[in-house]
Amino acid sequence: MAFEIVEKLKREIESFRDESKWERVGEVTEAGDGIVKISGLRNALSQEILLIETAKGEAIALAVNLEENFIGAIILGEGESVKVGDRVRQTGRVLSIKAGDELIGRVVNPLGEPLDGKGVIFRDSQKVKEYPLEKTAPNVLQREPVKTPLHTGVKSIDAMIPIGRGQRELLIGDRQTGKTALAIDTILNQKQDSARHQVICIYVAIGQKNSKIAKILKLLEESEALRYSIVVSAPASSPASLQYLAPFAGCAIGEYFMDQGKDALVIYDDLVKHADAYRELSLLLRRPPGREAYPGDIFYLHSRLLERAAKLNKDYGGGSLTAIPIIETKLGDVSAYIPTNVISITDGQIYLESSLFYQGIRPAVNVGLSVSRVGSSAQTKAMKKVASRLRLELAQFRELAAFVQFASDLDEATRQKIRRGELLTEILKQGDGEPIPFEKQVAILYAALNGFLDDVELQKMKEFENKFIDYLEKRHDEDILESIRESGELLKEVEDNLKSAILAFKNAFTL
Amino acid sequence: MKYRSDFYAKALFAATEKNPEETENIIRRFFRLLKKTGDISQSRKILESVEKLAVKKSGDRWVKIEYSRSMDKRMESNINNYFGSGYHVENVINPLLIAGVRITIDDEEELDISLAKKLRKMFSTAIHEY
Repeated sequence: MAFEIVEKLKREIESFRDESKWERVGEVTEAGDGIVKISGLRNALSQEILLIETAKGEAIALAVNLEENFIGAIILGEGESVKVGDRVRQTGRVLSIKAGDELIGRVVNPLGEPLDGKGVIFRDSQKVKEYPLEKTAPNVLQREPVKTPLHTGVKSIDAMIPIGRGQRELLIGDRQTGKTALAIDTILNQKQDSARHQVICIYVAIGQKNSKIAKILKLLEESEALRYSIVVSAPASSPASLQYLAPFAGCAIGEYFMDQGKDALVIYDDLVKHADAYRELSLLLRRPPGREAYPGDIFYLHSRLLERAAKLNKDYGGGSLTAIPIIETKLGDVSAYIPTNVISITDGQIYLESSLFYQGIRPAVNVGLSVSRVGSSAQTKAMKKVASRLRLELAQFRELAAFVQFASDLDEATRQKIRRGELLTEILKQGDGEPIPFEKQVAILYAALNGFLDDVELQKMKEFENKFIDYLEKRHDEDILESIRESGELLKEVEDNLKSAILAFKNAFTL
Repeated sequence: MKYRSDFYAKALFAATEKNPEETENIIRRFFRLLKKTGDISQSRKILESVEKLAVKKSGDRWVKIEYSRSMDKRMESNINNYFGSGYHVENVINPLLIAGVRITIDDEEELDISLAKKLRKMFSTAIHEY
C-alpha cells in the first residue's frame, strides 16, 4: 500500500506542470476571530473563494463584504495560522460542494470533507458534480403541486398534519420536547415506505453537541438507515463560518438528488443556532445590527435556504426536496423573532409543547396549533378516509376536557365524546424510535375512529395496539396491509376484511 | 494601534501635498503625533505607504521585485531597465522564495515564478488527492 502511494506521488511530481501567469493578489491587513480584512483584490466577487497563503499551508476564506478599501472575508476552518501580511489570491470560483451517490452513508463537514474516518469519498473525479452552496431556488414554472406523501411514521403527524414531498414543515418547540426525535423517526420510517421511491435523507447538525451527533449516528447505523442517509456535521466546537454554511451544504447535496429525479429530505437541526452563527459573523464584519443584534438580512438568510425545497415537474426530472427545519423556542414563545420568521416562510408547523410532554403525551404535538398548509393533498386516500374525523374529535375532546373530572354528572353523549377523546389520545401516543408504516396506522386509526376500541380499557390500549399490529402482520399481511400499502386506498373489500380482523382479534384479546 | 497605517499615510500625504513648503514641520509634527498615539513602531510602514501614494499620484506604478538571494548587479540593472519609465522599482531579498523571482505591481498583480510557489502548488495538489 505504501509503495503504491509512493509510486503515485512520483508520477504526480513527474507530470507536474506549472504555468506562471499574472495573478491578482491581496494582503491580509487584519485577522482575528475567524474574520480577515484584505486589501487589494479589487475585482473579487461576492461569495468568491479566496486562498490565503499561510505558514502552515493554504487557508480558504469566503469573500462576504466588498467594501471600498478592503474585503471582509470569513475563514472556512481554523484560522489560527492566518496572520497580517499573508498573501491572498482569488480563485474565480464560488463556494461549492462535491455531490454524488458516494456521499450516501457518509458523515461530512460543510466543505464536503469526510469526518467518519472511512477514507476518501470520491475515487473517480470524473463522476463528481460540484454544487454551489448558494443557488437560486426553482422558479414557479419548474414546480408542480405537492401530492406525494412523505410518511413520518408518527401517527399524529401522518393523520392530522401530513407532510408532502417538496414541502417545508417546521418542527418547533422548547428544548427537550422531542423535536430531533421526530426528525430521526422520519428518517427511520423511510425504510418502511416501500410503495414509493426511496427518500434520500440528509441530516444537518448545526451547533449541536458532538455527543448528540454521535448518538444519532449510532442509531442510524443500527437501524440501517445510513444506507440512504447522509450527515452534514458542524458541531458546536466548529467555527461559526462552518455552522453558517452547514445548512447550505445540506441543501446543495439534496439538490443533487432532486436533479437526478429522486426524492430527498433535508433536516436542519437547528436554525436558531444557524441564525446565532450568522449574527456572530455579521457583528465581527461590522455589519449594522438590527433587532436582537441580528443583521438586517436574517429573514433572507432562511427564506433563500428554505425556498430551495421544491417538487419539480416532470420536465425537470420530477424530483423533490423536502425540508424539515427545526426551531428551538424559549419558554414556548413562538412569537420571538427567529421563530416567527421561519413560521412565515414554511408551509406549516408542528408545535411540540413541554406541558404535553410532561403529561406523558409523547410525541407532544399540540394538534390545535400545528398545521400543514399542504394538507390532505399529501395524504393517501386510505389515510384521508380514516383520519378525516380525527382532528374534529380531538378538538371536541379538548373543549370538553375541563369537564372530565365531572364525567359522572354529564349526559351520555358528552361522556361518550370524552371517552373517545381519551382513547384517541392514548392511541396517538408513540414511543421514541418506533415509526409505524402508514398502512398499519390506517388499520389502527380505523379501529379507533369507528368505535371498535370503545370497550377496551385505556391502560391496555398500548398492549392492544401492539398485539393487533402483530396479528395483522402475521395473519393479514397480504389481504389487508399489502393492499393498503400498494394501492394507498382502503377498498371496500379490504375494509370488510379489516372489520372482520378487528372483531376476531378483539374476541381473542378480551378472552 | 490607534489608526491603520494607510489612514496615517493618506493624512500625511494630503497635508504635505497641500503645503509642500511646510513639509519639514509637517513631518516633525507627524512623528510627535505618532509618539502620542503610541504608533511610532508603524512609522516605517507608514512612510512606505506615503511613498506608494506619491508614486500613484504621479501616474507611475510601484513594482516590487523579490529575489531569493542577492543578485548580480548587472542582472538587477537589466531587470530594472526592462520596466523603463513610469515604473518605480523596489528590489528586495526574500529567502523564503527558495529560488526564482516574484514580481508584484501596485500590490495587486503578481507574477510568482519562485520555487516556493511550485512546491506549494505541487504538494497541495498531491496531498489533496491522497
